[in-house]
Amino acid sequence: MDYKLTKMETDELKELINIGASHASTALNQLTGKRVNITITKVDINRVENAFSLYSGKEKISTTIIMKVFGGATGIIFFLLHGNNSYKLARLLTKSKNKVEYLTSFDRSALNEIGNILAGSFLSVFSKFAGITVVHSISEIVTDTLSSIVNSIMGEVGSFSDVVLTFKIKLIIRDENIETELYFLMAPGFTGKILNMTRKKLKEKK
Amino acid sequence: MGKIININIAEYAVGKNNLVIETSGIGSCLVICLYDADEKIGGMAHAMLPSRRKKNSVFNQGNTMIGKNNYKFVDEAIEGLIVEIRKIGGKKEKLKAKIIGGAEMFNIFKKKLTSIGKENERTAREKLEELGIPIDSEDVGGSVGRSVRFNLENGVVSIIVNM
Repeated sequence: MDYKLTKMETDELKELINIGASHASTALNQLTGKRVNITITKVDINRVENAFSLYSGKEKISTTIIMKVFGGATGIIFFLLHGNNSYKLARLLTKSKNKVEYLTSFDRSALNEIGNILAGSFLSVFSKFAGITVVHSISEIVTDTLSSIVNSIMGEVGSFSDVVLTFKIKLIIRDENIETELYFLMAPGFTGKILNMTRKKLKEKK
Repeated sequence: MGKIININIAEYAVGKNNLVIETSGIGSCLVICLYDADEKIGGMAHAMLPSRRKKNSVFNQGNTMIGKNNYKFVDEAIEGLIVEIRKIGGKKEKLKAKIIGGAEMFNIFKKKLTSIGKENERTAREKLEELGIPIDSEDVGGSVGRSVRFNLENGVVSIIVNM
């Protein structure tokens, strides 16, 4: 069977991701002291081999900060920073004046920290709302073409699910012209449980 | 140079003479190129996983996937390519293989002694051996992505390592 989300289910999941996104953007704001905008929040369900349609710029050199997610749900959380966004973000955090156009070990360490904090803040909201306790692993930073990164990640997802549920958030620090995308991937088998808990919480809120 | 065909993940292409087949974004995925030099006929498949999982897979719940989706799996991609190459006049006994990819891009996904990349490579070797197709050359493993261009005029495979 193929998984499909109804419009209502998509809206409900979007509500959940919006709350997660606002926590992640607040965390990024506190880390950098800059105003952070959320420009895209998207929920997508697709076969792993077709999931690339959500990403743009096949040959773009990108840096990813990636973590495994485990606990009540199995998944992967990662950030994508295209081109020079990676070291711009790292140096904004560390207030470094370094001008070299590559990631130094200090930049990498800063990015790992950003990844840990943002993933932690996103997943803690997710855990609370979806009623599934999830934690993330240590992070790893890889720079390569976007298609190699995404295809390899989809290969990992494909080892436990044929279909992938993707939550996408785009965060922008306009003053510094820095963009990052956060992706949370999981097997759609958890969708039902997440939806039930989200509905319950949303009702409580009202 | 003749026509250029670009394939994506889980897709394949076959052809002859001056056709060029390209694919990119090869991380842990495995690209298999098969070539019959006498007929100048060959094909390329871009597979992402070694083989179908036995349990909890939609493929095992009555859904028979046909067409390009078969090429998601290394073992089925090799079988499928041979069928398609024979359809256009290539001979199985003349085929030689080149395999590219199977990188381990992320350390956090390594499982003790193996990884998706290594499993893809192992499955390809086993399947090709089973079918009696020799591996002419290979560029596998490592930790960076690759792009591949396969020229059917002369069977030359060009690899770009993305760093």
